[in-house]
Amino acid sequence: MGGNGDRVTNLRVDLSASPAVTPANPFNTGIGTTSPAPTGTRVDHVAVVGNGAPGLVGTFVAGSDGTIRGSVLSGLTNAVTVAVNGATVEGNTLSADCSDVFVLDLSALGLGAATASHVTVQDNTITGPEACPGGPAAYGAGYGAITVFHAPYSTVRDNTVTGVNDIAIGADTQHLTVQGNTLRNDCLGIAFSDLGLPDGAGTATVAGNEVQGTGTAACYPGGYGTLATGIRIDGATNTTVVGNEVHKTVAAPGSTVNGIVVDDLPKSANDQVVANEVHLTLGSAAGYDLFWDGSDSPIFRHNECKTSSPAGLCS
Amino acid sequence: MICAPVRRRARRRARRASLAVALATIATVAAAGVTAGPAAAGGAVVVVGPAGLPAALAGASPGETIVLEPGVYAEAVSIAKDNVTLVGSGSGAGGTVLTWPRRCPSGAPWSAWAATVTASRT
Repeated sequence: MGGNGDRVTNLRVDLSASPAVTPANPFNTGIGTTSPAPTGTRVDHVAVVGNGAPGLVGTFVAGSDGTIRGSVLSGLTNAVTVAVNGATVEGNTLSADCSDVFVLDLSALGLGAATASHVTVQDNTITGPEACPGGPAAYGAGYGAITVFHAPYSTVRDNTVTGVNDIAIGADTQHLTVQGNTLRNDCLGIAFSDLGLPDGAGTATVAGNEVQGTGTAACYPGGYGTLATGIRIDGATNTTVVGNEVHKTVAAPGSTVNGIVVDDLPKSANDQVVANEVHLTLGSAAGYDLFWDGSDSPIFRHNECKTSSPAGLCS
Repeated sequence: MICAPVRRRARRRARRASLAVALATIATVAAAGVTAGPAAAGGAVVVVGPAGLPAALAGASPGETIVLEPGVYAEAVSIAKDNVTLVGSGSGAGGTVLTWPRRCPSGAPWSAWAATVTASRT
């Protein structure tokens, strides 16, 4: 789609017979924008199906005010990719993809001109297992079901993510809200991390999410989510984790698993972990309901849990 | 239909326009006629089968709705005008199915072709 206000609806795109990708042409895209900055692109009630081959992109939308709604996507390397200012990704059903919803600022990553902000990802249903062609080194490492890279003022809410082998919701951005999501039996629940992108990660609220059974889906070796943690805050500033429930986390024997982690990195500051409910089922794994690495001075208050490192964070 | 000759034009136009293109696009086939339907709000409605789609796209005006009949469409498709709606006849296997172009060789530079369409947009 190269115009403004273009719409594609009520049809099916079958990418299973796509030609093999090459280094010069690494992607085969089902439905996408070809103009660098169209306005008002709409994709709704379509199906895009792949066969797990490398480089299959279900939908790619750039520009402003784009919408991807009510669609079914499966068997793709990247099911939904959005580099849009003011996008809505809503009510889609995604399964057996490598990365499901990828919100990113191409310019920040040095991949193009398109920027992203004010993106809402809501009411989507995502089901694993993740199928990353070529293994994590090619496509899988560090990606998750919903990924938000450098898209400030974005919201991820009321999504259901089940059985993915990496991070259910991963983000590195400013001004983010992650709220009311149901994450079950994934490798890792929520990771809000400063990975070194411009502006860093911070000023976020992670609230009212239910994270259950992390570690049930085997974590990709070499991927980010190797510790089966419920919620991780890595180097993000001014972030509040409030009113979440983390239950029944499991992990392979000998591994480490924690419920909510505020971890290392010198940028961590002014983070708060308040009124969360954390009850792990560790089995033979090591770990804690709450874990803080001792850097900076995050606030832990009114959390319902039994174990913490250091001791005393549950109260 | 596209592939070799169009790809050459695509490269020339892309160079002239100096357009940066991120990723690419859609797909479709060949086999029916173009039928003008009743005008919808903001533009005409055109109903096409697989054979009629390339012509419908080439002649589309801003605001037009192109309705695709059920069937398999296996040629590259691009919308190059503003406010054009492409409506299929269902997203199931028996509806409107867009597949990869049969006549493109394996590894065809899909994104380069898409860049051409964008550059030639009026």
